[in-house]
Amino acid sequence: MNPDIRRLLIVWAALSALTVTTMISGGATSPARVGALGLAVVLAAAVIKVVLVLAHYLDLRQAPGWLSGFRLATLVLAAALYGLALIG
Amino acid sequence: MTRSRTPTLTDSTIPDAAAPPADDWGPFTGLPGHPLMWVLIGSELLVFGAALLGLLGGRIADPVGFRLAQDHLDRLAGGVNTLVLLTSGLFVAIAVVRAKAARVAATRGWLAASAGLGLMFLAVKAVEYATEIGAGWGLDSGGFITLYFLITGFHALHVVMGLIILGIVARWPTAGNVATGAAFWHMVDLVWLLVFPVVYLVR
Amino acid sequence: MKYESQSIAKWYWFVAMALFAVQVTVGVLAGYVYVAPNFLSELLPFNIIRMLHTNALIVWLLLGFFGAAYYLIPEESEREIYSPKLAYLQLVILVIGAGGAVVGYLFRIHEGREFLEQPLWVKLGIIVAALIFLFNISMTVLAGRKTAITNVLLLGLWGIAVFFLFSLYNPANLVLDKMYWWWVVHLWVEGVWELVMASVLAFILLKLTGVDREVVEKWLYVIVATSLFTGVLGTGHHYYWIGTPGYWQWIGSIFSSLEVIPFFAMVVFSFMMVWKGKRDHPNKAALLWSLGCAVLAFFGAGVWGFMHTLHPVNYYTHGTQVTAAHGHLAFFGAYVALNLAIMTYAFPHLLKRSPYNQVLNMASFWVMTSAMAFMTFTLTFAGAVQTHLQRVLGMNFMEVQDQLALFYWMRLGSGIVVVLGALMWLYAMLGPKAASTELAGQAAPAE
Ligand code: HEM
Ligand code: HEM
Ligand SMILES: [Fe+2]
Repeated sequence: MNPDIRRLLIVWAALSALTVTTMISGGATSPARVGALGLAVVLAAAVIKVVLVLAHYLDLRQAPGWLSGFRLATLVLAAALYGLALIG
Repeated sequence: MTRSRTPTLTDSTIPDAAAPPADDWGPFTGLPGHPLMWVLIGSELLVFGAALLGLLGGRIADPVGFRLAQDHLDRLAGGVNTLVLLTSGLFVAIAVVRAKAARVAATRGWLAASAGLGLMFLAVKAVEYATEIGAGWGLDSGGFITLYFLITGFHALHVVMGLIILGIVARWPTAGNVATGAAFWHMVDLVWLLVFPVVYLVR
Repeated sequence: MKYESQSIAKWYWFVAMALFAVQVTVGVLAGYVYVAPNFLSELLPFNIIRMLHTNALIVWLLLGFFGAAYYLIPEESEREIYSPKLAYLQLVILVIGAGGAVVGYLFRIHEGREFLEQPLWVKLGIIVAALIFLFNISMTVLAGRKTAITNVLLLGLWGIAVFFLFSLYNPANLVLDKMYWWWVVHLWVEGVWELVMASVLAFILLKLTGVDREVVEKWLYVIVATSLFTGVLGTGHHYYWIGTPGYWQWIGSIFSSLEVIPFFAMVVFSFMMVWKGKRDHPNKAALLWSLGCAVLAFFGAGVWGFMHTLHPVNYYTHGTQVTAAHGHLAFFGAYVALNLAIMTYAFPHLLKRSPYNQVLNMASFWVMTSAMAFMTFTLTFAGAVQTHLQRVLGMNFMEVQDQLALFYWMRLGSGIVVVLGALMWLYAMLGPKAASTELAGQAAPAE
């Protein structure tokens, strides 16, 4: 198999697994409240997914400077969202 | 970071624009696809980032109202749609690989598959909206509901725009064009990765 | 000056300069009424004075843009203007319209709606003039070399005309009236005028610094893309409290916050160009005005705009002196300075001289800029106090105004200095060439 496509498939599998994780810890099927820990898992999974999409789908592996810039921005955003979510 | 480019015979059939553009775009050089697409991607991320911060900020003022409204969302549908978009993103990424190898038919096939999943996303979203609007929700309802419609509606508009862009690049599938269209599509995908947990799950 | 028809610009700019002098002088009059409320109240009431001040501003800025287009398009397109006769006809129509409007205002004939008070026949005259203008420059550009600068300039100028059409539409419903009013006012200064600003700045910097055209063009595209992306939906920051649906509070807050990006990009762009520049152009004054334009626009529009653009903030500051502070620095930085920059750059060429009276010109920059900055701070403080007393404590409007008297005196003082600065600049441009104030090392200008 084309190595690029193999890599993309692995990334897709990881993204899907992370999505299922999100749905479980974020309680996608139950109305129960999501605790601080659950939220942390949900947001951490989101950050990892965003970075995977950036690096592999969007091919920012080719531009490491941009990749780390976007990664930092995503982390800051997620941290701010987490903070607001805990206050609210 | 220079991509090695070994010219093949088929390269001449599709003019290649995936290599860094001959002209210098300063720091934007080296990004896949057209640099102006990246200006757009950056701006969109700022818009959605600000909107999500606004949502969680607004929630502080009215936690109960937000929670009551949010509980009416179909969280499972949101999760399924995440998987749909991620898979669609995979297909478009494969299309980029094929386009670089100048395989027009395969490129178009993957683009079409990707667009098919995009339509499926919209279908799921439409079903959600239908239920919610049926329950009396509207853009003007205020609080969580207004933000929900604004954020997901604005995102859905981008899905529609992305479908149009995929159609255009399928018509002229140079490697550069496909990379540019794919970059837009991935951005739409990426935005949803943040929208889904924050809008549907945070409670 | 390479093309004969570039001299059309000179006549547009003469009229613009005259109106500039009128505009700032009338501004002082308005500022004086603020501290002596009965001054001229029978002869020339405040609303008429204010109308003259703001209308003169818009008209001279537009005349400046027209002049800039007539000056730079021949050089960019590498050909003469399609029809100089039409260009002069356009100027005559505009002058008659502006004169007619002023006389009408003095007799209290106007249509209301701030900035768009011109009687219908004047508006129609403006539209005819705009059509002549667009025809004339589009024919020139289409026939000649196409550059990013002319493309963006043309887009901006067409946009100005298209959005002006909404001034004709005045629905009886007050909400809709305001809604469309902003399509002219906001979409002008935070949309299509920005395109004019970016392209004219790009032209001046290209000439002054000799940086590669390719670099300039790429910046131009980024600036255009970000200003339209943010500015169009940014209109929502005027739809918070006028009766439009509540979702505008979010759309307006989010998109207009991002409106600082194009202004910031213009600052980075200008300084990068100068830094990378290969050429030491003798027209230092033009360079100062250009850099000043980018920086002051960033502060006036970007920073002072952002200050009150989020809806929870605007809820308190709406329509206070904070707005006036922002309006002054934004207009001055972005569009007054832009016009003074291109005129300062072009006049030596139009008069076939080497750059002249530069020391006085640069001094006028610092005088005007400091005074405008002082006026802005004063009004910002006044606005903060007003917001607190009126909107937070709920004091009566006129009671609050009494508390602000000191600020209004200071605004008047700084306004007088602005007028002095403007007169200095006009003298530097139009007065006799003073040999003693020349900068050393004058060679023939590079272009
Ligand atoms: C080139 C310089 C100037 C520019 C670009 C400018 C621009 C403006 C603008 C855009 C407005 C309308 C503001 C709004 O709608 O909120 C305005 C109003 C006003 N300006 Fe100026 N102006 C300038 C110079 C001056 C000067 C020198 C004075 C003298 C003190 C002055 C005094 C005023 C006053 C008193 C008003 C009315 C404010 C109100 O109604 O509360 N302006 N000006
Ligand atoms: C060069 C560009 C700009 C100019 C010339 C300008 C000028 C003005 C003027 C004259 C007004 C008063 C209008 C009136 O009510 O009569 C105004 C209002 C306003 N501007 Fe700007 N502006 C510019 C850019 C911006 C930017 C970039 C922002 C936001 C980031 C902004 C935010 C606002 C807001 C929120 C108001 C409404 C104030 C209120 O509620 O009273 N402006 N602007
Ligand atoms: Fe505005």
